Amino acid sequence: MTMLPALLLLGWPFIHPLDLPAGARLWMLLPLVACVATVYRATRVHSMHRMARATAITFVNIVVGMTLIALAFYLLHLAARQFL
Amino acid sequence: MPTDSKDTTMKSIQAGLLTWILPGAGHFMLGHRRLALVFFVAISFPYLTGLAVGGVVNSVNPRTNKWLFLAELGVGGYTVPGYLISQKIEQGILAELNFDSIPPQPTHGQQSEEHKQWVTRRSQYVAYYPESDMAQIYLATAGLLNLLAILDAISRAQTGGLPTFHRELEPEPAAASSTPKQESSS
Repeated sequence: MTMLPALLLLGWPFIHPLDLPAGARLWMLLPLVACVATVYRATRVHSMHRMARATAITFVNIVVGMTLIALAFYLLHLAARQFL
Repeated sequence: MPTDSKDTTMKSIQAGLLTWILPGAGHFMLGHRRLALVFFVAISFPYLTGLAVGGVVNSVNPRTNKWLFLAELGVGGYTVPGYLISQKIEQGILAELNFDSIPPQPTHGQQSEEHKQWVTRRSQYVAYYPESDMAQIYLATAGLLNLLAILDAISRAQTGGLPTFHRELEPEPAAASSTPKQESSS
């Protein structure tokens, strides 16, 4: 019975959605990319000692790739507005 | 030899099932403690973040988004309780409004009064764009990442510790001489 208030308190953020500040939305990409890079690299390592560097490289690769794709789409959008 | 093969199969099933219930649990059972922690954090973080931003009622609900729910099922240990909680909350709202069932969504034309009440009462539990989109991306990614973790746990159980994509690995400097033996045994 004493556990119930603690459980309710723990569950509160999952029941009532949190509001994100407008500026935080774009930055939410980074933790997700970090998680993807970590899991991807974790499925390819024999041992842990090489993992940190490999994960960092994958993280940078994904972020740079996503940034380039975003830039390309932005330029395409500008061109479409200019010429269409 | 048949007993070994049976043991390996049992171990693989256990590792896969444990990872499905809790990310990293299968690796923990196999003795890869640090790797288990890495999987647990890297999969639980996006799942719980997505759930906190999207809210359990809309985010873990096959009625609102069946494809998202399917992706989330990759992390069964979080999705099944989440689904039960979301159903419980919806049933509570229905009971509060004295409705027998969820009012049908209007296809064309005006919204019914019942549907308006349902949407209004439910809105405190629901995230809207853009938070809802972000939550969906986080939750789906976590579910799909756990499928990779399940495959990895099964692979490590079958090969005695080699990861899923071990055939693509560069040989480790210290263990270079033992690598061909490991590959041929798998």
